[in-house]
Amino acid sequence: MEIGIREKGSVKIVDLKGEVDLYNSPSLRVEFNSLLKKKEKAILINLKQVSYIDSSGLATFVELLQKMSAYGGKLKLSGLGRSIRNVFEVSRLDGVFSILDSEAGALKSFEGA
Amino acid sequence: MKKNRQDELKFFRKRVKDLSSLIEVSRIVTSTLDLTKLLDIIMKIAKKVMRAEASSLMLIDQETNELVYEVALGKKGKELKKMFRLKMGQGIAGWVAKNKRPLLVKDVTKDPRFFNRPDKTTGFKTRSILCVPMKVKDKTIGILEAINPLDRDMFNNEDTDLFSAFASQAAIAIANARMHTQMLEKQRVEQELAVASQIQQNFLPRLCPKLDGLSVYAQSIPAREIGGDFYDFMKLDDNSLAIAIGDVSGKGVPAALYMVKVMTELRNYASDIYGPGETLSAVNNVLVKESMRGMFVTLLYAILNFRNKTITFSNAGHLPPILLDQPTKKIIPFNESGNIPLGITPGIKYEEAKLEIEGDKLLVCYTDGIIEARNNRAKQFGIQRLKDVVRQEDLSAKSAVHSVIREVINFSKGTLQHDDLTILAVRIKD
Repeated sequence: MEIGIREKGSVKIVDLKGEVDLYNSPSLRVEFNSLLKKKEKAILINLKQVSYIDSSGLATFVELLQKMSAYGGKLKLSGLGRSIRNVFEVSRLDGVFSILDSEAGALKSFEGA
Repeated sequence: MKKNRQDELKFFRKRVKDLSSLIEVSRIVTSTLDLTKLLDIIMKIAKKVMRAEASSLMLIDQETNELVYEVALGKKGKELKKMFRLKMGQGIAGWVAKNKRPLLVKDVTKDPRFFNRPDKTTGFKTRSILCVPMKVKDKTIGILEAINPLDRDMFNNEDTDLFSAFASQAAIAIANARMHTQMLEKQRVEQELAVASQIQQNFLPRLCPKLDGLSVYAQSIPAREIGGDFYDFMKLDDNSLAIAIGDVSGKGVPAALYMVKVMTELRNYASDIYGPGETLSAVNNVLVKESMRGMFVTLLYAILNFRNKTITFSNAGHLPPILLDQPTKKIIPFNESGNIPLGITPGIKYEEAKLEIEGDKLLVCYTDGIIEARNNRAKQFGIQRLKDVVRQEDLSAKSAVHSVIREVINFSKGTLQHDDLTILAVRIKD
């Protein structure tokens, strides 16, 4: 898995590439923790290039979501491919996260928030 | 001439003595695999063999690439231990570690490389140092220092040879002891994992409850030693049985501990007074309150009432079960609104739904490991195959569980089991 962090206005965009699983989610957690330390108000995770995610990866997202909610931050996900979207739908996690189709749409929804 | 012979004789006597002390050293340093003891022994012998006032041993910390005092003998040894760290190239020891060759400094006051902080702190007076690298297959693992020769003015080249030979023996012994420690540590972790796995498996009910007109059976096969899948049955009263199947996010010891927590809370809240929705709402609140690293659980919890012939269930993000009408082999859709997994958001009201179970029925609950099992062409077992297996013949709860497990294992033959396989079946007869 590759992790990249960009900035667009006040939104931090986390670009993920490859597989997010039990073995590499600890390194993702380290990245998330450094964003949490700075109390980032708006984070968008771009999953466009993610081919697989397991429940450990999902838990890493859930932890970020829970910790951001605690200080009033907003987390959104975008660019989910068919199989990734399916993982979220089957486990009903699509009801937990704010999921948007495109990055542009997600960025716009942050403005409205 | 006579003088020369005497010198020669003296030289050879010294050589023989050195060699026998090396043999002795080799015997002693290989006598223990306890690293702390070994380092101590190495230092004591170094001091004795080199006839030095003090000796010290520094090992390279792999993470920081610094030299760390492990043992320092002599009056001030204890004060030095772990007090100073040297960077590669810093001080005489750092120079030796960096250049990987011995260094003999006859008078430290005249050598700018000498690092005098330890002396200043301890009050020890270093005059002369012989420092040699400890190498294992060209890799430097640390250095040895003999400080201030006794009964003579300075260390000489023969001392350097002897000390170098000694250092290579010591290095091999240290490497062996480290390997041994790692092996013991690995064994300890493996044993702990095996115990954790045992405790976890013991938490799952082994005896299926016996009830009139109903048979229940379940099995869980973890992918790694410890998985995150579980099932449970609880007889609530003479007419009702509660069943549960769940999948904790992640694997290993954290998942096992979380699973035990979920099962404990579920057993605590399960009752014939509260419906499945209320029970899951209560369990969810406890889990969120003690939330750890985003862990969550998908869980299907159902109460089968065989007097009223109903199943009331609440589903927290788990895969919907298969309900089969045995006589017609028709699958009855498990219509549900569906809720999010437990442990994520507090204060959620978990919805429940009710189904009639009049007549002969087979209920099959499973985890994603079953339908997502892959064969060697990366094709998934899938829900359709699962339905086909449970539809065949007139399966009891036990034979349904065994058939599914057998088919999944057959299907994924030759591949590594990726996820836990868990299945629970209930056969309800008139």
